[in-house]
Amino acid sequence: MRFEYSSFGEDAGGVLPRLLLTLRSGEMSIDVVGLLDTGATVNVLPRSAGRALGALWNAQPVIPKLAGNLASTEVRALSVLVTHFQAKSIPPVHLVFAWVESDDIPVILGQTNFFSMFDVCFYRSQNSFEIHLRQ
Amino acid sequence: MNQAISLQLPEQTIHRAQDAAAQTGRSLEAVLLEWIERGSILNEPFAELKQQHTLYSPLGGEDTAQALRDFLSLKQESSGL
Repeated sequence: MRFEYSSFGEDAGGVLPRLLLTLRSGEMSIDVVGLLDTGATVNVLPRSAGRALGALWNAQPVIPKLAGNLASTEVRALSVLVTHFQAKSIPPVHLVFAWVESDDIPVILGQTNFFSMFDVCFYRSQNSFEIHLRQ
Repeated sequence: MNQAISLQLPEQTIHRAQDAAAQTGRSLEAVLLEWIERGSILNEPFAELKQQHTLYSPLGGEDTAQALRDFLSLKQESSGL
């Protein structure tokens, strides 16, 4: 399924490949905008999103810290069920996030495990990208 | 003040715009307007470079990635997935 690059809020990043996603954990669900980031080693979830899903920080396992500008941030592992409400044909999948103790970051969809679950093709010259659930 | 103009567009462009409108639930006019505005920004030399960009990508977190994969495997085993 093909999606348009989009801008979001006051993000100075301009038009980027973003997806509107619904995250579920137990009975809780939230809608988020995820940035497809092929350079990111992992998926990243900001603190407030995890809390909105009812996750308890101390109940989640500690994992090694991230590199780069998130190097000083404590990180926990959090697994959530993800659906895309514009693409009913894509079944819900479990994505695992590095849940960071910071809100200075968007929801990031990275190599582990978004890009291992989905085949993605970028058409930057056409400001669009295609996503298919892996075979 | 808005002005109305007529454009002759190639069929391929119209089909792409119609697809984009259908996929995103917007009007054809809204999609075309966005494309025109986006094009004008891209044509301004180095317009995007004038802005301050934040680099979020957590590069090189291989240990973190492995820990997440282990965690997911454990969750899937425990839930029978």
